[in-house]
Amino acid sequence: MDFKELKKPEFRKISDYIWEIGTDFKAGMRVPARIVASENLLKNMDNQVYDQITNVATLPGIVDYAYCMPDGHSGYGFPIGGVAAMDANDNGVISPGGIGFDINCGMRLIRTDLTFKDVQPHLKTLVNKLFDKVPAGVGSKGFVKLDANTFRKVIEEGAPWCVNQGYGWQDDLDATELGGDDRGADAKTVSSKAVERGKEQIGTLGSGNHYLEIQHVKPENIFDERLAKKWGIFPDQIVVMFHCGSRGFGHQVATDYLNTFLNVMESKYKIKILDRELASAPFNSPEGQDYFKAMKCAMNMSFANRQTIVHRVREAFSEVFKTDAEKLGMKQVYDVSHNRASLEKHKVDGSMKELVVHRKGATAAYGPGREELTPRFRDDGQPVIIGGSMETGSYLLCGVESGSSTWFTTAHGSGRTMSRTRAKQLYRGDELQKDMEKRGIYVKTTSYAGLAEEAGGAYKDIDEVIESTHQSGISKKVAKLVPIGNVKG
Amino acid sequence: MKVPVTVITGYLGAGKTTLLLRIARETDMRIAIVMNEFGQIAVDSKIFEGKNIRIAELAGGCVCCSLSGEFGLAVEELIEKAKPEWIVVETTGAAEPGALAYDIKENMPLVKLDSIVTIVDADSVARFPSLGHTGREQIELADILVLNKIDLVDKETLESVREKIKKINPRAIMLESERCGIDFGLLFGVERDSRAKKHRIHKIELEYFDFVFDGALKHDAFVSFLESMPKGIYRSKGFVRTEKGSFLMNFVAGRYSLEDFDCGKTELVFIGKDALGNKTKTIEALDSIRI
Repeated sequence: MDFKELKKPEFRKISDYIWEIGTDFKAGMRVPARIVASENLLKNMDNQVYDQITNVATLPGIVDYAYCMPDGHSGYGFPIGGVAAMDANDNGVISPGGIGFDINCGMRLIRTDLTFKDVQPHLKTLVNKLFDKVPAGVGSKGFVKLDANTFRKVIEEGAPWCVNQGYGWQDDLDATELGGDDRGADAKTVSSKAVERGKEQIGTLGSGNHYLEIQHVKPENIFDERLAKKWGIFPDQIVVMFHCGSRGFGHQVATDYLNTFLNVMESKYKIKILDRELASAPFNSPEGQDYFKAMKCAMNMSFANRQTIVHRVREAFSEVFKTDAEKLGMKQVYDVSHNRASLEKHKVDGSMKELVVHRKGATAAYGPGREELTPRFRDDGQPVIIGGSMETGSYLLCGVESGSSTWFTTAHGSGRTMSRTRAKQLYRGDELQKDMEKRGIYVKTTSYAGLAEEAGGAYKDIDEVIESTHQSGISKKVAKLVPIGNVKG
Repeated sequence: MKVPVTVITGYLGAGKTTLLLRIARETDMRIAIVMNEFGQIAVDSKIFEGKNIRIAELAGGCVCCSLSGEFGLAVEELIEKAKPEWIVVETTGAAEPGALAYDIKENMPLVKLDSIVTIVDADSVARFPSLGHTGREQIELADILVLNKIDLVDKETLESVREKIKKINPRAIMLESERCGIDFGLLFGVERDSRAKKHRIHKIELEYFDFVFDGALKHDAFVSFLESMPKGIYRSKGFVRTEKGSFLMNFVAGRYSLEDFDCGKTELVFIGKDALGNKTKTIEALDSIRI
C-alpha cells in the first residue's frame, strides 16, 4: 500500500531497541508513543503503524506511553502489536480496536517425552490424524455440539468447564493464563447472534494464520537451561504448539460493541477520536462495562476452545503411538492470550493505579511475583509462547522484572511484512507445500490459497523480533522451536 | 459461463445492508446475495441447509445465503443449488477485501470478479481524520465508490471528503447517494430494476445508449477503443464479434474483459453519468472499425 500522504515521524532514540515519537508529532496526543524494535525493524515498519500508534496516544485516560512491539504492523484501529494502558479511575476508555476481533487469540504449548527419532517415522500419520481430530477452515465445526444454554455456561466458566467434562486435565488449568477462566464474564452481555455463531465452534482451529504444529527442540536452540528444564523442555524433544482464538464468536462480540460504541461515543460521552476504528467508551460506563464482560465471555470461549483441542491432540498422539497421553508426558507448558484487555495494578509516577491494559497482538509477560500468575510460575515469571511463521520457527520466552516498562508485555509473533493479497500474488500454496516437505516440514491444509498467505517470506524475521524483546529487557529467551509438521486452518 | 461476482464492502454502518435490501427487492435478476447474516431479509422464507451454505429463497427470484463452510466451496454449492445469474457478496465491515478479490480471481474457476463496490459514509469520513487501516483498503480497492449519506454533510465538507477519497483511489467511479440510491445498471450492466420504479426511491439516474451491428469489428482496434473509453462512461457490456471470434465483453471503471461466447452480432450497451454526451463520439469510433 501507498502511505505517502502519511507523515513519517522523527524518532528520539531511547536505547538501541526503544524509539520514541513525541507528542508534538500530532495534535491531540496525550502521551508520547514508544516503539520497541531494532533499528532495522523500525525502519521497515510502514507509515501507517506510526500513524496508528500515535492515534492510540490520543485516547482518553492513556498513561505513560502508547507502545508498539517489534512485530508491529498496521491493523484495525490499533496496530497489531499495539499496547496501551488507560487509567480505569480517571476517565480511561476501553476500545475493541485495541483488543482485536479475534478476542483471546492465543498460543498453547504441550510438551511430550518423545524425541525427534520417535516421531519422525510417524510424522505423516500423526499430522493426518491431527488434521482429522482438530477441524480447520473458515466454517469448521467442532466435535463438541452445544445448545445455546450450555454454550452460555461455557463462556461464563471457561476452560474449567471443559476439564469437568473430561476434556483435559486439572493440571492444564494451572498452566493456563488466568487459570483458563477470565472471572467476571457475563453471558447476558452477549448477543444471541454471537452465541449462534460460536456454539458449534468449540474445538476448532479456524482459518487465516491459525495452525497446529509439531515442533522440534534442537539442542542448540535451548538458551536458558534452568527454565527449560523446569518447564519440561529437553534437547531433541518433540512439542506441540497451536494458535487459535474465539472464532466467529469473538468477532461478533467485537462487531456488536463497535456498533454500540459508535452510537454513544460522541453523543453521550463527548469522546473525540481520530479514527472511527478506535471507537471507545469510558471503562466505567455501562457500555464499557458490558463490553468488558462480553470480552471476558470471548476470552473464556477461546480458553475452552484451546482446552478442547488439547484433548483432541492427546487423543491423536495416543492413537498413533498406542500409549496413554499421560505416559507420553503430554503436560501443558502454558497457554497465553495475545488479544485482550485486563484490569491490572501498576505503578504510575510512584503510585499504584488500576489500569485497563489493552494488548492487541501482544502477549502478557508477567515477571516474578506478579499476582496475575498462577502459583506455579510466581517465582520465575511466566512462560510466553511466540508463534513464528510456519516456515521459520517459534519461541518460548519468560517474563522478567524489567518488563514493567511495557506493563509486562512482549511481542506475539513475527508480524506480517506484506498484506495477505500481496502474499498470494508472490507465493503459491501447492508449491510452498512441496517445498516445505523437501525441507522436512509436512503440511496439511484446507486451503492452498490460505497457505500462500502464511508463507515465511510474508513475515518479519522472527529471530530479530525476539532479539529486540530480549535486548530491550521486556522478556528473555528460553528456547526456539522449529516446525516439522503443520496443520493449517 | 462464469458467474459474475460483485463484492460489497464498507465500514460498519456505511449502508451495505441497505444496498443489499434494495438489490433483493428491486432487481428482476436471479441474484444470489451472500450475507453475513440474512435475518433482516429472509423473514419467513424457507431455508435450505447445505453443507457449506444456508440458502433462503426470496420473493422475486433472488436468494440470499450465509456461509457455514469455506467461501470457495460455498460458492460452488450455491451455483449448483440456486443457479444464480449474478452473485453479490457482502463483506463484514472489518474485512479487507483484497484477499477475497484475489481468491475470486485466482482460485475460483466458476466465477469471475465483476467489481468491488465500496460504500463510504461521507459523514463519518468527515468526522474522523484518519481513515483507518481497513477503511483505507476498502477505498483503495474499489471499482465503484458510493459516497453515501451525503445529506448529512454540507457542501464544503462533501467536497473535502470527495478530495480525500479521490487521493486514495483516483481510478474508481464515484457516485453520491443518500440511502444507497444508485442505479443498478451500474452494478449489473443492464437496466433490470423495473420494480424500483414502484418504490419511488430517489436516485441519481444514469444515462444509457446502445450500439447494435450485424457484422464484426476489427479486434485490435476494438481493444484500443476499450482502453480509451471516455471518462463519462462507467460501464459497458454486451456481445462483440471480431475477426478472432465472438465474445462477451464487460467493462467497468477502466477494467475490461473479453470472454469467448457464442453470439450472432455485436450488441453493446454503454452506461454512465454523462453517457449521452459521449454517444456520438462513441458510435463514430465504433463505426470506423467495422469490418
